[in-house]
Amino acid sequence: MSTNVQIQLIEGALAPVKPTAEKFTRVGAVLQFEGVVREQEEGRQLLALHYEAYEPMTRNELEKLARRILQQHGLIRIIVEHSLGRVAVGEISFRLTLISAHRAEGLAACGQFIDEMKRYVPLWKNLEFSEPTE
Amino acid sequence: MILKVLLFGPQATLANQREIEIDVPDASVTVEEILHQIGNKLPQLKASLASSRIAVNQQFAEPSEIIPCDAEVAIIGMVSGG
Repeated sequence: MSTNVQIQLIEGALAPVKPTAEKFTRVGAVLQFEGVVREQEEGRQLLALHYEAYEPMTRNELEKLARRILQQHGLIRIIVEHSLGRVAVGEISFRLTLISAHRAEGLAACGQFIDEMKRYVPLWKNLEFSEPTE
Repeated sequence: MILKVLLFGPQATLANQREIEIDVPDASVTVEEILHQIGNKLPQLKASLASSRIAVNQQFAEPSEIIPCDAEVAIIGMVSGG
């Protein structure tokens, strides 16, 4: 299996990590995007998000998307980490790590990956508010 | 033929169930027809159907595709990853 693309679906919040430069002589840029659970949603106080997947379709679609983005932008490596289950306010629910020779392709790939993931990948969040709905 | 359709996320919440049964008249029902049937059976999902897709055996299917009678079918809509 290729190590250029790595997909991880992890129960609960993602642990904070520091981005580190890969040991590739070609690497000029390491970009790391983290999605954090906001404290408000729909104008209400949020306690947490609960993430849901449709396995293995979710993993397969993330892998296909990552491979296409890797190839399209000529990246060296792409790592996708997404939470499943409960993630509290302030915690990390998504991390995208892009490793490339130059920053331009990494920045472009980051935006495109996230836009497309949010448009069609089978992942859902259910909202846990501090006050129940009436 | 009874076709079971899996629901997820907000659509499952709106329907108050994670699986619905659609009674289809014959074995040549298309994806487009199933979406229409889902809207008829669950009017609370109608607004989200235009931007939803059907997965057949965990692969996105085109509207004109015929759904095999033994397929696993899911409606993929209102996604919110990331």
